[in-house]
Amino acid sequence: MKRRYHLHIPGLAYFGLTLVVALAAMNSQNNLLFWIFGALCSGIVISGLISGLMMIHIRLKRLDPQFGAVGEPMLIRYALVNRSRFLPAFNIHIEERAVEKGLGWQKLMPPASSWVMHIGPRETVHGEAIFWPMRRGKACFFQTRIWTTFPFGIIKKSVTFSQQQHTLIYPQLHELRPDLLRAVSPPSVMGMRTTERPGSGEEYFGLREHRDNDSIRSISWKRSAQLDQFVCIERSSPSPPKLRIIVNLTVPTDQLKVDPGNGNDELTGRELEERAISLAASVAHSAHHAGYEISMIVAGMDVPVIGMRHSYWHLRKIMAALASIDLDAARDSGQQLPSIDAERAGLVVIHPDRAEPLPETGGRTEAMHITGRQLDSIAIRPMGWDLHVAHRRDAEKGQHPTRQKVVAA
Amino acid sequence: MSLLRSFPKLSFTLVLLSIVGIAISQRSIGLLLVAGALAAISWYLTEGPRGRWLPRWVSNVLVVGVSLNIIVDVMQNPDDVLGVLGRFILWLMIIKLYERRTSRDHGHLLGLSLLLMITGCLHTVDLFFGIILFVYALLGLYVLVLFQLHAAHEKSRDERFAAMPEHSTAAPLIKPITGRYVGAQLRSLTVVVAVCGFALGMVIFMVFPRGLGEGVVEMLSSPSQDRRPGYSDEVDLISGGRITDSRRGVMSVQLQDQEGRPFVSGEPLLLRGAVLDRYDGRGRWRSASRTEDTLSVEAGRFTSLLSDNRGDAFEDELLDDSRIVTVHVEMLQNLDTVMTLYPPVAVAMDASQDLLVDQLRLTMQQQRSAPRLHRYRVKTVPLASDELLQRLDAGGQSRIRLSPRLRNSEVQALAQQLLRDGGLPVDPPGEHGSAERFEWSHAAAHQFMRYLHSPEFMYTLDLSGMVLPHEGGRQMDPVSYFLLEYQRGHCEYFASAMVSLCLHVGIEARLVTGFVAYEYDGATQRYTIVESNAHAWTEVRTEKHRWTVFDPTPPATLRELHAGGSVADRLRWFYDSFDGMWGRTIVDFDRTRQAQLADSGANATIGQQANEFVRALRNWMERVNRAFYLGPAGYFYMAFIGGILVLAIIALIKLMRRSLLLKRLFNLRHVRGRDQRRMLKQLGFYADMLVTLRRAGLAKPHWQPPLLYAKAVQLQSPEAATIIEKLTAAFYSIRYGGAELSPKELAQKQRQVTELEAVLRSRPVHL
Repeated sequence: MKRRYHLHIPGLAYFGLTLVVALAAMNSQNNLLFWIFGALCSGIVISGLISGLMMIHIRLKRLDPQFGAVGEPMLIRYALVNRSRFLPAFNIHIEERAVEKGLGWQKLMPPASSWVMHIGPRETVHGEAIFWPMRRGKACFFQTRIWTTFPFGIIKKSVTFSQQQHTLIYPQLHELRPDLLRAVSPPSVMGMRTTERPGSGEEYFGLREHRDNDSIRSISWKRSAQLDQFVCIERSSPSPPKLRIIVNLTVPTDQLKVDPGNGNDELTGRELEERAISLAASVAHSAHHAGYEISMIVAGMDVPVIGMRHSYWHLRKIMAALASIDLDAARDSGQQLPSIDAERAGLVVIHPDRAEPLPETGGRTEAMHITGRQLDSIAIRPMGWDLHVAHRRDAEKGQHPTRQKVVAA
Repeated sequence: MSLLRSFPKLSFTLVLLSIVGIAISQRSIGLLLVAGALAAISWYLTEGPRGRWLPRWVSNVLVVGVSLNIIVDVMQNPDDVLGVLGRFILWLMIIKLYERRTSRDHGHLLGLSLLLMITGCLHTVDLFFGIILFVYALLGLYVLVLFQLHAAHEKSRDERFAAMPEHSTAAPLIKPITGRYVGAQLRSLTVVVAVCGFALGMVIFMVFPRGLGEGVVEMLSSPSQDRRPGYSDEVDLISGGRITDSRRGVMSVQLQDQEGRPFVSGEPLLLRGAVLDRYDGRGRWRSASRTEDTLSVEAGRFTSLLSDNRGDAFEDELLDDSRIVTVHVEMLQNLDTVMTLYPPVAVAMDASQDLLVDQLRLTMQQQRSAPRLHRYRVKTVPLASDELLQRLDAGGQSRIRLSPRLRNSEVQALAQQLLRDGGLPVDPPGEHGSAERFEWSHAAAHQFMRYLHSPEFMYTLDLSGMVLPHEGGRQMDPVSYFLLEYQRGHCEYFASAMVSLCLHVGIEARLVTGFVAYEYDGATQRYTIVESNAHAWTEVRTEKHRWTVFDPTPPATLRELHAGGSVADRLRWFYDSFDGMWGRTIVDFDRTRQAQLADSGANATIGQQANEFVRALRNWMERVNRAFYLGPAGYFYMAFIGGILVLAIIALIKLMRRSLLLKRLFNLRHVRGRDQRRMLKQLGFYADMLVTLRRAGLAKPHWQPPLLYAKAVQLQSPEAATIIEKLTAAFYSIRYGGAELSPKELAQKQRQVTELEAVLRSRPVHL
């Protein structure tokens, strides 16, 4: 913890006024002015004392926000404890300190602050700062500073707390055209299918003898009566549609085919890569909400292959992988990727600049190749991480104009 | 939340208070009405969702207009730069009130109101302004604290909305994040800050060195420093702004005989300050050419004013006169004139300094740069012999005549008529300077004084109805107008009229200004002189070196005025006492008082300080007693009232403690308003029951609900438990059922508590 007193402009103005009053009092020897001067001086002393005593008893803890998403508000909560037995704290401002390190949060989002009006003696309150991430990546928070100018705004007292935490900022998500997923999945594999394994689906798979802990509802009473022993019905395992996403980042940024001659194309190589990542995230997100099992491979980067799963945590794993991609790292064009030739899954290959076949896709001619440059034509609009919230906001749109802003289509 | 919502109202109140303050300091009702009305209207126009504000360009134009007006104002009133500055700030503030009010604008308004009060301080040091300043300081403190929160809230909200990207959905509205009891804690903290700030401010006020850099910028010097407390060495009958009915102390005077024993004079003391013998015909009196000598006075030593050994040490033996009176003067205000009885023969000061002595008129004054007068002594001989007056050379060579320009035939006719009425010759008998002429002068002066004492003339301070007519394109002389037509005025008019009558018939007379002392404090054996004791009277030459005092102001009126017989006057006594205390402790606090304070703090023991306090209290009680004419029974009344006050304070403290106890016991802090008052009033019996049980060793654990506790007691004392159950049922009905017991029922509950106490005493519980 570092404690500091700062002079700021209102404080300097106050000092100036005090000096003027002192000069006026000395010039006129007017005792009322001497009294005002005394009051102003005591204001300086008391301001320093009160704010100092207030801040000395405050402890702060940043609560991990888990993740953020580009274009979405990221709420960082702070637990503030006032350990004083008698003295309440007022007017506490909380801000994250920018650091001169490469992983500092300030590269990803503009600063935001929180304000807590009051913390009673021996109370804990939670302040919250709303950050608006502008770029994906790993945001590292090192130090948090709280400050106050209470009670008179003369002297600013600050305390800095060190607490290292990092948060992943997921890529910007877009709502994609609804026919995209249909186009990705071949007609033969559309719809819900079952596998040849017992599981938790709804289709009939077979009969087996009753075991402990089997649900009574799974007993086939007719067959049990015939066999004179309990027999249970086994259901088949469902087989949801699968989608494999390959992000092709094998080509270094500076070797990407950017077309500077085209006046409409002002995107740099790095922007194209970011768009590709954002597109991959959007596809994964849409597919997840459409019930797909998703797998992801990031070609050319040191990112582990993410297997075929369908769950919220699996989606977060994909997003985290996409968020952590460091585009400045060296590319590995000779990276060995698992063979997907015989896989019964839709395949989307996302390239930053131009669609070029990847050797790993083998004979998968039905693979869909899309590029970062196509984002504008594929995406309908930017979208929030939480679809339900986004839909609810859409529904409320127009009803609370002060709370809503028009979403750019 | 209500705390933040209250800020605009309180801030506006503070602004209004500063307007009242500046209007009081400038003594301008017009300013108060116009500025106050404009400010009040601004509230209705600008506040609220339908509020309308002045466009920025309009307010800028208005500011330019006000600035131009101020330049004109300065050129018209070059002597009143501070007044102009105050008005400029006031109009800026009024314009600001009509603008849109963000937190920054609120800050500007608060700053302007503070500047306004500072300008007011430079204008006046009156008690009423002091009260306004004190209230302003207290309210300002709270408003400043609220302003911090209000500004931070607005800033936080604005920042949050500004941070939102263009295409994003909105962030939630910001509600202040607070803990519990924020309002109560903020108010408590403000009170603590106010008390500490006031104490520290007073310490700084007392220790800050006085006299440093005084008058460096003369233009901005406070007019209050040049204030003459009712007294002036010039008289202007028309402006009359100096006349005051303030009872703020100016000085205290003690008379000592030759043996050093204090005594009371049989007549009011007339302490001379200035002698005015030149009149300009337009109501202005001043001294004719001064013949001032510098007299070096050593500290603590009497210096002679006698012409034969002037400036030397003075011994009583020099006069061979047993009627020497020593006047001890202790100044309570700053006054550069030495006030004396007539004629002064020697003077001693508490610090060495040079005095300017006007030997012609026997007046003394400090030099301009001299330090402030605090204590001095003057030896006088009220019944001085001719020989002594000759040695003093009191104006023997000068002669006062009426200028032909000022001669008024009607006044002359009046004077002659008065002489005829008194059986005196109209024309001065004998030669100039002859004894016969002086005898006639004395008798004529008496005749004029009797005339002015007649009921035809009335004493008044209210001269608002006095409009001087014009004669031949010139305004009529106010003295002649007073004598011939209006016949109402204050002491200066009476004295001027008497001088005028004398001069019109060839009698040498002059106007004297100073103080008249009536109030004798038996406890301190001193005369107390207040500002309203400022007076003017007449001196008439009745011998070559002798000037005899004639006071033409009706004596009955004067006594009435100074005695203050009505109830309102008596009540005013309190205000005047505070005014005097305000003047002594705050306004006139200077280097000497600082030194005295340091000395008393360093040297006096606690016992001495206590004695001093008791003595001051006794003196105060005596003064109150005299002011209300209570007599010996007054001390009984005061003791009675004091006792009641003490009892009331004790009762109040007990009530507050009980209220806190009930709030804590029954967790009433979150219950507000009427409900809380009802419960505080009704639940006392249950608290008493708990105290009784605790004393009996049956303390109720905090975790146990009342009903469970009642059942638990049954195991240990079944008889007590019966009563406890009844009381507990009543407690539940009041605390949670919203019931309100009648006084009779409450008394019954209290009786049950007493019964419980008796039961527990008769059958002690053995745990």
